[in-house]
Amino acid sequence: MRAFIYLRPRSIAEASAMAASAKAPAHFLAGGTCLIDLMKQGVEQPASVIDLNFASELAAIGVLADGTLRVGGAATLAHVARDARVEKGWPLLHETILDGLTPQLRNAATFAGNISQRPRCHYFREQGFNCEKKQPGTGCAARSGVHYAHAIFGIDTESGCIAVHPSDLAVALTAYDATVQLMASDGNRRAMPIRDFLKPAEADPTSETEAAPGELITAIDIPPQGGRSGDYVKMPAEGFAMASAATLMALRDGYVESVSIALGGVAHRPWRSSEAEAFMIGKEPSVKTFDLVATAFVNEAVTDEQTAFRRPLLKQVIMQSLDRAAAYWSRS
Amino acid sequence: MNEHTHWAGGDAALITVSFQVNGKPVSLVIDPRVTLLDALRDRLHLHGTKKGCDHGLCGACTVHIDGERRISCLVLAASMEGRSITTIEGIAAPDGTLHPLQQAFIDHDAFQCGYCTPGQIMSALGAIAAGDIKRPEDIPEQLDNICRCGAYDNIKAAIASVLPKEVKA
Repeated sequence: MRAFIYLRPRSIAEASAMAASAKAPAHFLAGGTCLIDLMKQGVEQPASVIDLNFASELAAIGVLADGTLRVGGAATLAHVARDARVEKGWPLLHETILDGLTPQLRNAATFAGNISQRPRCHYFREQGFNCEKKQPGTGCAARSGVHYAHAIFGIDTESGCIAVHPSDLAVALTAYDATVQLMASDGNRRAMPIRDFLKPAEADPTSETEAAPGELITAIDIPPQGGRSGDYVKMPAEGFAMASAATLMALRDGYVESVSIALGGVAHRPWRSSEAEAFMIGKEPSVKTFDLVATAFVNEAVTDEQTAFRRPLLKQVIMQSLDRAAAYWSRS
Repeated sequence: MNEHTHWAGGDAALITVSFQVNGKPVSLVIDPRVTLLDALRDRLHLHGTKKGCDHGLCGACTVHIDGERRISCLVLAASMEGRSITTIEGIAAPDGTLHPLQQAFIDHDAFQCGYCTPGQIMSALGAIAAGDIKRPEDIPEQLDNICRCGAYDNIKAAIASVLPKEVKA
């Protein structure tokens, strides 16, 4: 691990000010479950580490006047899952958190850190392989190597990064259309939909998010789930998903009134399709409808001999998630 | 500073960090790169907490930080300023009587090589304290610690035997 200067701000303002003056590259440290690991591997070599664990205001969980859930960037996954308001009002979020990581890691991992975590691609995390993230233009060792768990959506067929976003949480947040609240090191604030905050593979591959150096994720805003049912399905059930689907669904008079479905483990960021969602509106929530939607999704996938098995896997995951979200309505 | 770790990247300014371990205050002057796990083992000579994978996957290094079960290999000792740590050395009674769960692991032969055992026990205690294990059926999902000997059945039996009566059913 490279030597670094350790900084310990006590507030968001102080963290931001430190980011502006710290020796670059400066990294924010929260749960450490991704960053410390990458520092041990030599993949991340920050000159300054700004420890956010002492800025308690950054870990706040609250509900705004309009019903939006505001989760501080440094709130841990475990604390959010334990919050009675979340369990009652955002059941899809609650379920997705408990489907990911181990209990020990959920006690450490934070909302901002989890959505900002770097890919689990072994060619990225180990030294000695060509990697578009580490050195753009050098090629991708995963393409000619072992890539059965890599991206099958949103990839260039010739070149570029084929890593997937490893987070379960980000998949649910994408289904919710969550908003990421950011504060730059000069104090300027901005908000960005998570679908824009997490970058596609074709963008600059050296980072996975739109956060500028020194820009802090102060909070993540999650709209109310309201009357919508939700369900998260993940394969494999433990470890990093090779296919997952988070669904939010509302029915009216037995037909789909609104639906949002985000896929995980298949692309550089959680994957949504406005066409697939539009197709379902007004349809009967039947196996036939779900089969058509899942088949349409899978037909868009780009696979080879290593990743071909993910087509039926993904189809099953999508159909199961839609079916379970719909089944909630026949029970109520 | 730490004979088990090779620092590839030069010298760092040392920092002072003060926290509690098993109820006793400690103060260390450390390189900020030192993890809590290495500080416990190499500086405080508490060798009960084990280094397994050192990458957050196996759970052998599980301790309690402010009462919550956490892995200690991916957390900097520097982040522990003012916090309270409990390790496997801190759960027996002052007279040396084993904690009921430690005794249950012996009674149920809940280990073979024993390397993962401190992590298993600290993880189980953290889960019970947090109310995450209410019934024996909750144990497999709540205990993700790896046991390469495969002593899971006896580990589960040991933990089940110490669950409060009202939730045992």
